[in-house]
Amino acid sequence: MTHRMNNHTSRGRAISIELEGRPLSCFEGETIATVLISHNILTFRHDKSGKPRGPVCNMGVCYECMVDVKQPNGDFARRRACMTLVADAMSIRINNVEKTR
Amino acid sequence: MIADHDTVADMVIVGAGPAGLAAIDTLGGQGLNIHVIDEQHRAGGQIYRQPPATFRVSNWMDGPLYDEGKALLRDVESRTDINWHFGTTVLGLFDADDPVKQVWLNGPDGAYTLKTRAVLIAPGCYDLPVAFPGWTLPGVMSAGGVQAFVKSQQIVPGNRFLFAGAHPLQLIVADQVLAAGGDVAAVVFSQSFREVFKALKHMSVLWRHQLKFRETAKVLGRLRKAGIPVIFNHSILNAEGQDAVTGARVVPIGEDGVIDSARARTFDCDRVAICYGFLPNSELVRQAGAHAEWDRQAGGWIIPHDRDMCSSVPDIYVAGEITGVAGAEVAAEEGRLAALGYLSRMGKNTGDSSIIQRRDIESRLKSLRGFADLLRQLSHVPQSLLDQLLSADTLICRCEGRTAADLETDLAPSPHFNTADGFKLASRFGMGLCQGRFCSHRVTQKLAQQSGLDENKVGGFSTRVPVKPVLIGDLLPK
Repeated sequence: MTHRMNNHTSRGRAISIELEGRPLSCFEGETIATVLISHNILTFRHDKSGKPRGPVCNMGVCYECMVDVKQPNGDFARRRACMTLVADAMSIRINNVEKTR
Repeated sequence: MIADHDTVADMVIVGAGPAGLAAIDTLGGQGLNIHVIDEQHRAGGQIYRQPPATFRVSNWMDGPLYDEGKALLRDVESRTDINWHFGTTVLGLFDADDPVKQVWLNGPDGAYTLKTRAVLIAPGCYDLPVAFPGWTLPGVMSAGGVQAFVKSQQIVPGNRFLFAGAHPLQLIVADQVLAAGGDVAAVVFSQSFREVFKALKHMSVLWRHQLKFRETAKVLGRLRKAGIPVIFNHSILNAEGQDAVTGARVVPIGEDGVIDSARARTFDCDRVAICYGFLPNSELVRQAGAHAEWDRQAGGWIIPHDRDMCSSVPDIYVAGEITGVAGAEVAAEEGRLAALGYLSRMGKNTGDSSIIQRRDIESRLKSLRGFADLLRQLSHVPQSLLDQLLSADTLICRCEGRTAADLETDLAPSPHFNTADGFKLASRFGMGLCQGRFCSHRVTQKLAQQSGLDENKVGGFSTRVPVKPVLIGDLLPK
């Protein structure tokens, strides 16, 4: 199973983020990509033909892991899940079927 | 966008990997105003990608191969005379009041600018994207990406991994996945064992770099002991699954280099990790106007430089993979060379010790490049193999949804396409968020093949500001 390694690792504070109303437990210092994968969520977005896409490069190059992250003003901003650290009570969306061409 | 700091920096270093760290080590403590930019949240680059500062990892990157790099990282990271900008993307470089340059940045609090007299661009590389049927399924990742999850985020990002490629890094990552409690279905190499053996006949290189070979042999031993098949002369054929990877098919490659899909066998796995080599992050330095040359063996677009590691643009220095993919040790030596080159041009550190330092670095580089050359020969992938992996509906441009068949048909109406830029305008290849990072090398090679022109004539997609996407909201004052 996808799992956090614990034998030699201690993590930051236990926190929680929210994915479309669903709470996801996680730790300070983790990226959004880590949290989603740890909860066995591999589809981060859908492409124009509606097909699922997930993270590929995990280093900020491929832009396959774009998710929507709620901003302080209530708007959602598209961010790379692999480059964005979680914060307690962060709210994200992944069902952002691309509408633009 | 937040306005400039009033001060003008002496040096902005882009990338805190081995090259950037070594440059900081050489430049630090001399009263220079140095700013370091990195997209990651801590220093180290991809090879020394550290766990988050909130984590404690007692066995992080254990082993004799990493001791020197870890020591450098520790030393440099604790420096207080450096202005660190982590979680920050460089959007572009402009001329301000010549020779002062303006750097556009996007950090955690939005976009801002910096002025500087010199820039060292040491942006590293990323895994070479290789297209095959099913490669857009969630669960297909780059081997480097899998490794970053393991060593930095301390998770095993899947259950059972199939590794496929040509670069020995996949052995290391498979070993790390296994040690972390993951499962490995197989490690598949496209080259034959005979080819590997032939490349290894350079005994002098073997002797000088015996530690690396000994460590690799240990890894192979552990994989064998765990019963993991390490298969040569085979290629991935496709990844299978509906919404995510559930398996992968692997095929033998014939004497003639042709894959034999009738003899495919299926491996159960929920992840496929691809490891065919690396491409330098060349976009920023090309946007800054530096001359680039195509060298497929070295990783595609690489930046020629003089003895001081200065590019064709005055005061823009380069170091590491951007000068030709050759690994962390070469990168670190080049970072030092760039720092010394910069200092001597500034009229500092021009004495005998500097000359001796440079001579020592150049002699170490000669030996290290011998190893890098061997690795390139060893992990060579014929283009004909990559071409065979495509089916008509395989996506080449993942962002814009353009397929292998589209590449053929879009090229067909005009036999006069002879630049990547021209083709991009007509076809949308490379117009998505990754800005061509995943398809540009393929398009350039295809156009070169079809037109009979050199890749340097065909060019890559022109790089413009922003060299990575930015939200308009991030550019506005908060």
